[in-house]
Amino acid sequence: MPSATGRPRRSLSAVALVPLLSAACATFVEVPVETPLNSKIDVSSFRRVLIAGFVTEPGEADVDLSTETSRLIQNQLRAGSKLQVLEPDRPPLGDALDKIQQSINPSGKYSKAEREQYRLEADKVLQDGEYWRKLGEEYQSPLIVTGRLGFEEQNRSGFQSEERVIRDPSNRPRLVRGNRYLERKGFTLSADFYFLDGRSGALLHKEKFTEEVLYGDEQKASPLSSYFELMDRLLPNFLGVISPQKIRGTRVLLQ
Amino acid sequence: MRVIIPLLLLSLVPGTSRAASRSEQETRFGIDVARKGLWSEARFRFEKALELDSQNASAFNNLAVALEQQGDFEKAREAYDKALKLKPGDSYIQQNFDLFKEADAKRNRKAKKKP
Repeated sequence: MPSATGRPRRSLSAVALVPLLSAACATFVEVPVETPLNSKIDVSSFRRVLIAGFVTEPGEADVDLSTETSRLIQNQLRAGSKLQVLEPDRPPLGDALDKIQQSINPSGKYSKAEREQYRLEADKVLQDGEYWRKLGEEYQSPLIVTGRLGFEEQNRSGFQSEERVIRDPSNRPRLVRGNRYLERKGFTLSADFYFLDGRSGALLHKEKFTEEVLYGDEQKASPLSSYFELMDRLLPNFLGVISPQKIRGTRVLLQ
Repeated sequence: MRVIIPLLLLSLVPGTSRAASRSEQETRFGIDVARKGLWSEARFRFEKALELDSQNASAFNNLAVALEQQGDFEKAREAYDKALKLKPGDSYIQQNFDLFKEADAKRNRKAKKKP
């Protein structure tokens, strides 16, 4: 049917369709984005960082937590921060902790009460601003990282409910609910990090992290490899306290 | 007068569509440079696209992404809001905005922990 202009109405509807079609075919481009995330504490006034060592449970352990963690953090900070990483021969906190051990029980075999006493004494050192100020003076006023670490074996084996599909005699599928025993063992790593100002001995920030890994019956992992797996998960969060991080993701750009 | 007003309006139509077309060009160029990681240039292009056509929802969406990438989160939120007002229910813009809010919540959680 012709329109008032003499052109067929069809062309008008075609014109009207163009934006609709182009809207339907709107192109988009997915791009990776990295949004900045500021560090939790401002460490710009420090030039050096000292990993002073960590308080751990006294006695024999599968992993030398303080030494391994100090070394790992030093490596991470060398690569991921602008601070000069100080490398004492031995984590300085070790001397203070040795003194406490000697004063409680030189044999190193502790009763439950002695363990508790050790924890309390070690906590006093962690909170002793004067001790950290003196240590800071010795190492030219660095940012000091210390804290408390725990690494424990976990056994979370037990019955777990599950649903299975079985076939009845007439070959019809049927949902059956039941319990199955699952062997699940692993380790938990807990870290209570203290970030201290080596100029004043004051606590700048405290942060607790906990990570757990569990293995099935067939999986076997040594305590040391489990420790490394857990530290691998924990370290980015640790670094986020003192250096800016990035949240990676994708967004869609529209044409 | 009756003749002049419609004529004036008609003369505005091609100008408007030309501006919209240039706005789309700027948007496309912005996307090209964003894909190369040149986010400052991309931001400039998306802003220019919006100067030319303030109804360009795509440019608002893209500008929001560029602002987010540069850490200007308040302005990014405003740009996402404007994009969604212009194109309510657009799944791409909504998805971007949801991801932005998720990342923003993470940032705020971290900021609250600051001593």
